[in-house]
Amino acid sequence: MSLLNRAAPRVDAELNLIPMIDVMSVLVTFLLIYTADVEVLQNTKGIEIPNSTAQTQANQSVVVTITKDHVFVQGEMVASLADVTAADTPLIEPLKKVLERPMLFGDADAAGVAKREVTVIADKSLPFDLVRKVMATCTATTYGKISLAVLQK
Amino acid sequence: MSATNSRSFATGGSLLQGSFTNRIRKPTELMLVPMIDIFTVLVTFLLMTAVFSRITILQLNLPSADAGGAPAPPQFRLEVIVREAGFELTNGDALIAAVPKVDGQYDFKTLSDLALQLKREYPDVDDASVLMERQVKYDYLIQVMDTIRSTKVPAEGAAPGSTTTLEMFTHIAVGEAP
Repeated sequence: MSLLNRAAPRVDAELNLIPMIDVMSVLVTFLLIYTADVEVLQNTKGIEIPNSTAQTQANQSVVVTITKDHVFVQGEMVASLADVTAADTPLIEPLKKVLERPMLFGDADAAGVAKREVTVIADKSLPFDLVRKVMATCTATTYGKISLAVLQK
Repeated sequence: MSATNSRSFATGGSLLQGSFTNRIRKPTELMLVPMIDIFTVLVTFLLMTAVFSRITILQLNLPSADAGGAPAPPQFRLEVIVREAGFELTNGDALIAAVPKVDGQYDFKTLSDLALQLKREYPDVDDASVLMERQVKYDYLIQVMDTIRSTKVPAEGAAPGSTTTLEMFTHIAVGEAP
């Protein structure tokens, strides 16, 4: 035992932790900064939104989402697409009702109407007719600006 | 650690001497392991929530948005009609050009060239309309808007092959095809 000890002087097994911590700090900082600029729009599962070269950042607005099956306003299901296509009205009545709720927008004065914004997130395989109906409903209620959400290329 | 302790006791030095050597030998230790634990959890959590695809928006130019004031004098306005069979470019009244599909695909290249040509002809005009037939996919709306919004042109005075982005018709309205 003592012989063995003398042959190889005992070295404390030590993990070199400092570089690991360095790397981790950099990672944490990077990820924190990357997620810090708040994403106004959350990419929803099940929707493939089209790619575009648009650079404009999304801003806070009422979000209307059209999946392959349903229409949502701010995450709340409003109508199913089957109903929308079945009802042969120029506007989507249930959507209209929800959009007219006063709590969706803060100010109720007429001057705010033109500034009120709605962002439409729609699946790229939808027929244009449907998207047009949604946009028509938005403008028929009190929204003066419409934006289409796209994925930056 | 216990090894060093036992060794220092084994040397038989005084208590003071033992603690003195201890202070020299053992550097102040940072509690790194809990820190690493926390960092690992943070990294995993942030990686999981990180969104690597940016969502941007295309703003539509709605005619009713800023109503009021005299109607603008009639000027050139590009209209792109997207039909099942292909594109049609009009100036509101008369057909300028028709771009049929090529091999069942929309011919975005020709559309881009025509739009560029029209932009050169009317450099002050920013307005355009995209009129779609009902059954055309929404995806094509975005692609057409992209095509007429900007194009890549060869940069002047720069190295050959390099391009710059030229903004063309940036105010785009959307409607239904007649």
